Amino acid sequence: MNMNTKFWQKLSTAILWGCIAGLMLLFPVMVYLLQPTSDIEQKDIRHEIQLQKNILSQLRAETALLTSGHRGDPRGEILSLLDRLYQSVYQVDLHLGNVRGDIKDASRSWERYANSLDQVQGVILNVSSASALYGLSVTQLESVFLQAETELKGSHLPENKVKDYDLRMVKMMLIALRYAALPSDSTRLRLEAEIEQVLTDAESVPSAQAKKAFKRALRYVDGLMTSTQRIRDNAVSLTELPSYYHLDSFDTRFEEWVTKAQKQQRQSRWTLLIAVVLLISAVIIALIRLKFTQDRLLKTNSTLAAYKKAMDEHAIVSITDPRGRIEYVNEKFIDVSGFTEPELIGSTHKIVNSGVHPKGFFKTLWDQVLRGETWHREVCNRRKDGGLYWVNATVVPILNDDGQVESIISVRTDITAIKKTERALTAEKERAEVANKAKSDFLANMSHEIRTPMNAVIGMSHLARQSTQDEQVIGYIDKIQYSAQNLLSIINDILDFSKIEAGRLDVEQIPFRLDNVINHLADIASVKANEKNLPLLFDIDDRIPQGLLGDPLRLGQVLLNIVNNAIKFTEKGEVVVSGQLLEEGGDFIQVRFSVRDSGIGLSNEQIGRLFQSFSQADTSTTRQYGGTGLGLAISKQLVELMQGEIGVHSVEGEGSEFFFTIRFKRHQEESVAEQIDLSSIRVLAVDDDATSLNSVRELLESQGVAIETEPDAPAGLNRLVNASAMGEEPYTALLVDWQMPIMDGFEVAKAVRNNSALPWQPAILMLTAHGGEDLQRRINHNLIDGVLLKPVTGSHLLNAIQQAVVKRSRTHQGPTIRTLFREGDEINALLGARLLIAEDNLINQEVISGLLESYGLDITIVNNGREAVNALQQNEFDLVFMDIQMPELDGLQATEQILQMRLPKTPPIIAMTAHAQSEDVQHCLSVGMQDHIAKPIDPEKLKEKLIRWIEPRVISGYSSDALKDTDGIEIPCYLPGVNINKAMHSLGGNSKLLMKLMAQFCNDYQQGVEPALELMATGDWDTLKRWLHTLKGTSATLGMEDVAQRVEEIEGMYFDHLLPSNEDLRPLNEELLRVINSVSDCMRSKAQMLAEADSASEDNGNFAASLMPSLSRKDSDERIKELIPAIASLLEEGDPEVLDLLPELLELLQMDDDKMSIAIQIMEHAEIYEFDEALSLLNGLSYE
Amino acid sequence: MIAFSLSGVGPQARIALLGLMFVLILAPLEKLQANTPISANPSVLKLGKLIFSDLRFSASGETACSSCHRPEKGFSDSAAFSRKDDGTPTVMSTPALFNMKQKIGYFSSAPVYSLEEAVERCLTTNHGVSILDIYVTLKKDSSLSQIATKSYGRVSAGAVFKALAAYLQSIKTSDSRYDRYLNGEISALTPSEQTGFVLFEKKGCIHCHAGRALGGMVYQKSVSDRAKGRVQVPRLRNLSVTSPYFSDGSAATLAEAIRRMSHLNNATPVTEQELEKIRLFLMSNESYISDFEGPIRYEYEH
Repeated sequence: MNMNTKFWQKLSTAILWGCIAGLMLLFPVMVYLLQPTSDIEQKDIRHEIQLQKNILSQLRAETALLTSGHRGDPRGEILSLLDRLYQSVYQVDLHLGNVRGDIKDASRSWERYANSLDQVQGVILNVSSASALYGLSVTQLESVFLQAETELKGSHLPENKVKDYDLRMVKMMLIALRYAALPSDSTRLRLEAEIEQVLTDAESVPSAQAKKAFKRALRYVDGLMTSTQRIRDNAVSLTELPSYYHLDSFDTRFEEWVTKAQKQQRQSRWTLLIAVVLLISAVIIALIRLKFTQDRLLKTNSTLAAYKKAMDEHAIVSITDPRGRIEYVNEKFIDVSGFTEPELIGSTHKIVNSGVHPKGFFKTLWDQVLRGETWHREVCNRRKDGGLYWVNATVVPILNDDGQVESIISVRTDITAIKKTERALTAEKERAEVANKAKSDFLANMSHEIRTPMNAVIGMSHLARQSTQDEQVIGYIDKIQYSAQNLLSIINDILDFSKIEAGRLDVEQIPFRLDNVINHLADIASVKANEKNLPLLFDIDDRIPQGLLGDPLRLGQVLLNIVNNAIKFTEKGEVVVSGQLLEEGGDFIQVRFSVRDSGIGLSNEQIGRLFQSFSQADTSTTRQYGGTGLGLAISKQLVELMQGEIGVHSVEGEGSEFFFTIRFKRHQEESVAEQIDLSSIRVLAVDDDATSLNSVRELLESQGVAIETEPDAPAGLNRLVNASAMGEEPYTALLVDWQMPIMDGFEVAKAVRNNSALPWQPAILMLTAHGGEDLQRRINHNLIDGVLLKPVTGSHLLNAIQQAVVKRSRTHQGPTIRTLFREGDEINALLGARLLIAEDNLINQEVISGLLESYGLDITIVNNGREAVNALQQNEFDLVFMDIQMPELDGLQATEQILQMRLPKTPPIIAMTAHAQSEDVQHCLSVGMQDHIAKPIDPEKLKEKLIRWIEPRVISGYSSDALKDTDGIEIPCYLPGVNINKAMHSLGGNSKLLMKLMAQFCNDYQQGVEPALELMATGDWDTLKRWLHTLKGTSATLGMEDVAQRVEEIEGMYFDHLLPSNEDLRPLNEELLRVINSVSDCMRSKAQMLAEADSASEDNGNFAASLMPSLSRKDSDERIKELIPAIASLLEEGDPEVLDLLPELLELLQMDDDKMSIAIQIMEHAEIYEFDEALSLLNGLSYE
Repeated sequence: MIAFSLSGVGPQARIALLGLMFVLILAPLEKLQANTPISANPSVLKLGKLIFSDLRFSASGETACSSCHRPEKGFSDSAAFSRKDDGTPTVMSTPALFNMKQKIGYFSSAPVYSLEEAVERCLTTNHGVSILDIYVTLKKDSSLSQIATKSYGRVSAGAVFKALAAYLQSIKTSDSRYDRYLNGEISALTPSEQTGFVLFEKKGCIHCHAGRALGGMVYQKSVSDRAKGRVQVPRLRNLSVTSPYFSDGSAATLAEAIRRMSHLNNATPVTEQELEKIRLFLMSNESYISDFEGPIRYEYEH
């Protein structure tokens, strides 16, 4: 029910209650207004007033009766009238007292009236009194008259007189009686006149007795007259009394008030009636509303009943009170549980408790339900017959308005069958998972187990290839290596696939450069493409930013996979790899990569199956082309993991285009690639093809880059070398064609690199129309900074030039030692570094030590982690390679222990693992290892790691020998009496130089100490001293420590002013000859190599000499003379910048071995900031 | 409609409707009760009776109404002049109190026509108390004041007056033989008494002692020399207990009183035989007196 309905319902209820309350309040008013008492009172009062009026009239009438002589007994009448009057007055008083309302006027009139009644009574009293007197007088008339008559008769008057007087008296009496009977003014006047007359007459009466009689009569008449008069007067005053008037005015005023009051009453009644009607209509409206609500409720009720029926049909329903006692169960409950209704009602659900659930299970139910929340679980219950059944229970509390739980409804669905199935399925699933786990474990183990032998195969074959000169053997070994790599990639594919299946394939989000990925792709794929003579073309959108966040490895994998496929299925035509920027927004970009080939193509049906596992276009394809068929499936998964799509367009027989889109995040590189000002770039292009040359010129000039061109190599070299001599700016970049007459591109590059007279080593870019094995094999990044496949776009070319220039210039600018190295020299700087290798597998030990042997490193191999830890405690190492899986203490634990030891300088620890999965790598890094290298160990990768992680100890100048290709011998065999390491150390790891020096040494001293003996014989002591000194320096440099020791002893004698005898020289001689013999043996054993090396050296030397016309011994000496004071001053100041100058010194001194060794020592001291020692050595150098 | 509403509403509204109906039924009953009777109630009479014999309603605390209007003496006394509260004698003899409605006015000099006024005058002049004293006295007595409060809503001197007046009005006489005769029972009076009645009329007595009550309605010149002005003609009833007679009590016996009246008013005074007959007639008008509680004085108790 929504708020609105609720509100209206509440409002109508409130109105209803308000109306009822109002009606209740109105009832007393209504009762009062409706009661007729107010009317009755008016009637009563009116009646009383009428009565009083009547009484007053009667009183008047009675009084009049009294006045006119009483008839009967009016006084009793008057009294009763008065009594009635007062009763009536009392009644009116009472009524008036009860009358509510404004009747002041009427009341005042009434009071006046009531007061006047006293006067009325007084008057009546007077009348009554007078009347009584009058009556008495009248009754006394007879006796008075008789007495008077008797007295008159008794007087002594004549008869007639008596008669006369009697008559008069009678007359007077009559008049008096007439007056008394009909009192009027005229009769009164007459009576008075008569009395006057009688009085006058009485005076004249002679008889005293008669007079007395007259007087008596007169007195009587007078009394009668007086009483009559009193009655008259009072009667008049009664009529004049205002009481009647007051009553009348009260009547009028009261009537007025009554009329007004009635009017008001009528109004009040109407108002009341209207109010009542309104209230009743409000009640009716409210009731109608209630009726509607009732209808709705009934409807809802019927709907709910239907719901209930539906629910009862479907589910097990029970209702309990808040304490859990069952109040209601439906049929279904009874059916399912087997209990009867009386058994269930009143009991709790414990009756069906199966006891399957743990103790706290139902506590959560109660907790949740009493909190007012719904509880939802699957519950196991017990039937009456003991059988269990499962229900899916929903327990809902019903809350009352206060939020208290009123009752609890539980609705349950019988899911016993589902549960059974589920259990079966779960068991099945568990079994499957176990199986799958076993599979994964198997794969992981297999991968590990395979890798170990693979490591041996690859490593050993690598070593074997190095240690043989037999072309055929090398061919075999190459094939072994190729096959091993293939096998490894298949294993990787399988591992990837199994990871994809397990959903454990992760995609990294790391910063990378797209061009690196593409270059790498080109490096690898171009080999195969060249084999089939297919052009592999790249067309990467310039708008794609180079700095991206993503997984370069996986991207490369996908691309390589597709490109390899393309190459595989294409016989002729071309393979084009292109990348287009599809979408760019915010911090992400979407790139579409496509690989188009002109191969056999695919049918629609084949396309449908293409991205499925283990599927190639068809089985015949498999037979024809081989392959696991996993590649595309993996690619698809990888692309999808990288939020992309993969697809293919293809026409059978014409070729196909595989494409995929990938979303990358942008990555702002910390150091944006340095942009070289275009105007500062000078390009020299050398090409025998004039068209190509012109196009390059046009391209670059259009971009505002200065360019010079030469049509052949020698001219180009001359131009390059002589630029400064001709007063031109040095060239920053050299573009050479690969295939040219006289000298090809590589030869040109070599010549340039070997020419130390150039003030500025230009960046060298090779432009070629042909890729291929040859090119690939000969690319040496020391020589060539980049290879561009023709045709190139202007911007592409310019970018390549810029990048190459930046890269090249950076190696000359950096302040650190490392940047002083030429690429390829870096490894030489690691000579003598101490390496600890922890590896339990003997073959692997052999492989890695063999791979490392060539770098002149001091290698310690231990068999497990514990030994590694011990070794680290005893010795200092520069780098540790740690196998992960080892007995006793595995690599991870060992690493942790090593890190906990807090060595003064903890060496970087690199994990060697067959687990190539990224989580393993993560695990290694998380315990504190710096890096990892996967087994089987790739020699190149190994070298990278070494360069990256070993702090360089020595800096070596480069010699022409160092710049040679790495073919040939670099690794001297073990020589007794010679510390090869020391020798290598002294010579900056230049093994060629070492070999040369050794040969020279052997040559020089093959006679042993005979020259010395001769000098001793001739007594040329000074020469002898010099000879000894030279021998000492040379032997020390070459690591012939024993020889050096002997020489030093002899020199010591010399120092003590003892002349050495022949005997003294004998041990030296023996030692010397022994060393020479061993060296000679070694030399001979590698005679062929030496010969080759010598010849190559000779060729190069000759060629180099031809390129270095400006470099002469004299120039070198002058430069040294300039350089040494500069270095000395810097050393005195303790300025580390001396390290910038020292390499040049080393370079200049390389012709002189002694000075070279001293210079090397100077360098060593300077490196560790022992400037004083370096200075003293330098002084010695300059002294010589 | 009620059925409809009852079926459609909740229990609360049902109760309310029933209550409404109940009120409707009770409303007329309430009206009946509200209409209280206005006749003098027994408690007022009781109050009056109590005050009537209450000595506290006087200055000295020794005088009550009943000190002079002694119930056993027909609410009069046997003295010519009664003693006021301050000891001085009253101006006139104490009148008998009965059938107060049969009197046209109260007091002889400056008559008043309201019994309450008469009571007030009697209390203030003869008892020597002011209205305030009356109020205080009533107030002091809790039981009296309670009755007053109950009957009149408040304690006041007016309540005392009203209560006394109400009580006085309740003092009634029973029918005497004279009354029975008037009602047509000829044998109620003996022949000599009947002769006496005839003489009473004949001699003109009936003019002043008028009406059934034989007086009380007329003011006439006093027989007594002492009384100045007119006095109220007394009602001739229960004369056996109210001697001496006349307003100054100058007539010790009834015969003397009759004789003097006859000499004063009749041209021919009554003879002794006539006098005796009149006296017998007058004595026939004897009855016992009762108030609201019952008889107080019985006929012929002396």
